[in-house]
Amino acid sequence: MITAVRKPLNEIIEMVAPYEKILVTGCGTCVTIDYSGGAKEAAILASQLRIARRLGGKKLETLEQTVERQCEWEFVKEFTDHAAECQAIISMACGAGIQTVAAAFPDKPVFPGVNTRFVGMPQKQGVWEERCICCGNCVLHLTGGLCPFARCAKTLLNGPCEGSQDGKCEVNRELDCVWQQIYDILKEKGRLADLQKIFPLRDWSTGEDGGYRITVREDMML
Amino acid sequence: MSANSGLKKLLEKGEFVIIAGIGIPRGADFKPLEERYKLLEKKVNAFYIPDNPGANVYLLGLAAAVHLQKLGGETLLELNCRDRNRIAIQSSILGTAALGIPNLLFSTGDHQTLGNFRGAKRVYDVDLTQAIQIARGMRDEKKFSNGEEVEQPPSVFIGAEVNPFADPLEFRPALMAKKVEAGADFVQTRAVFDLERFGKWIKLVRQQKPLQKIPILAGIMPLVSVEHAKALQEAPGMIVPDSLVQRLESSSKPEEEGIKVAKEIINQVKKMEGVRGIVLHAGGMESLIPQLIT
Repeated sequence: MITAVRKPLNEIIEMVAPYEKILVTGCGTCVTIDYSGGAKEAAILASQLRIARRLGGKKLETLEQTVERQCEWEFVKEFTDHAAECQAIISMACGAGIQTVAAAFPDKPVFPGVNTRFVGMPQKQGVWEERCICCGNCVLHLTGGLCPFARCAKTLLNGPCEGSQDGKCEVNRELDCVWQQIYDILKEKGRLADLQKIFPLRDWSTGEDGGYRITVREDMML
Repeated sequence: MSANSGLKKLLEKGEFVIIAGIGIPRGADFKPLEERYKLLEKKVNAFYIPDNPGANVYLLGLAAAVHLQKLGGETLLELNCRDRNRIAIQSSILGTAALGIPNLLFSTGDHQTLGNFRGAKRVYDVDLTQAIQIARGMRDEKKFSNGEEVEQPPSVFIGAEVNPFADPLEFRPALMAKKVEAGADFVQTRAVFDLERFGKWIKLVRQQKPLQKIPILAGIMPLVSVEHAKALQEAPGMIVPDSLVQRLESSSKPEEEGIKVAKEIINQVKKMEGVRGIVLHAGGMESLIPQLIT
């Protein structure tokens, strides 16, 4: 899932200061699951903004609407009626959703209500961890099911750096060193020999370094 | 111009080499470097030039190296993988060789968030093992990493950073073996304070035949105060035993005690198999180095 966190309230208050009627939109998929931008969070933000405006002696009217996924044209179209009534839109979806809304309603200013963080998973209740950097060339079968790009601060592929100690990362002692974990798992599986060979240079162009990515599936085109 | 490594010759002759890490200025002036050089001139075999250590900004290592070589000192220049991608690494290898810098130490690099420029973007396009492989390929096979031909191959004596104090200990010799297979001619360790751990690592390394012929240059750092020792205990990749901190604490002259400790460590590592020299990590403390090596 894509995880996000709500932007600080003051930042959002400042962004929408010029407008008197705004549409606060939630997304029903990832950001609902991580409690950052679903229907409930949209309602909370809308009421916080109204209260803040009233405290400043001014008026703010809000509409709220949440769709299944803001990252698809079909769903964001559902905002059309409410958007027409409002001067601006806050999207509480991930960056993909915000851009879809912005493209779908080019005559309205669209503001991000969340900061999109990473592709990850809820490790336990209330804790989400990064798992994938969408590199476009998966190596998880070689590394015991743990991603050295998402989980090593230096994206190393030939083993741990010189700062790994006591199973922790040099960047932050709260973070596990993924290379210690990879080592432990492959040792358990009797596959340490896999780590002896030198992994060649990566082609990073399959990831974000190759320019923004477009997947074309001709078999799926109409 | 091809660079000839005096360091390589000394190691081949079986001499115990002494390399001094030199403090690189944080301004656009070589004067502090010259002053530090004068303190050590002709006292050491080479000068190790760290590459923006601790992820902080210092004068460009290559510039410092060229200047020191002009003054007459041989240099060992560090190139980290934090600040340069494969294009910059290869261009640096060509440039350093053309400028007569004979020795390169490849390192991963302290992570950018550990320094004073926390917001910097990472590179780490190439890891340490791959960087060594690239250097060896350019030198021995006259090939860039993409297979294109190098017009004039660089002459370079290739060093690899290793850390006996990083974990998992039992995996560290295998990691060193990868660096050696990639093309490392010698390895340089982080500063040794924990002799027991260092000894364990040496023993594991010596069990691997291909590693037995690889010169190990042991890092040595004088502790100058209790605070210094305690700060190093917190630094990533270092092990400073409590017993050493206590020795400094109970001494009325901690700096002198620190020198004594460093000399003891030097004497101990000298006796260990495979240790063929030392690198004094004493940047900014160059005045202490002559006491350490006499």
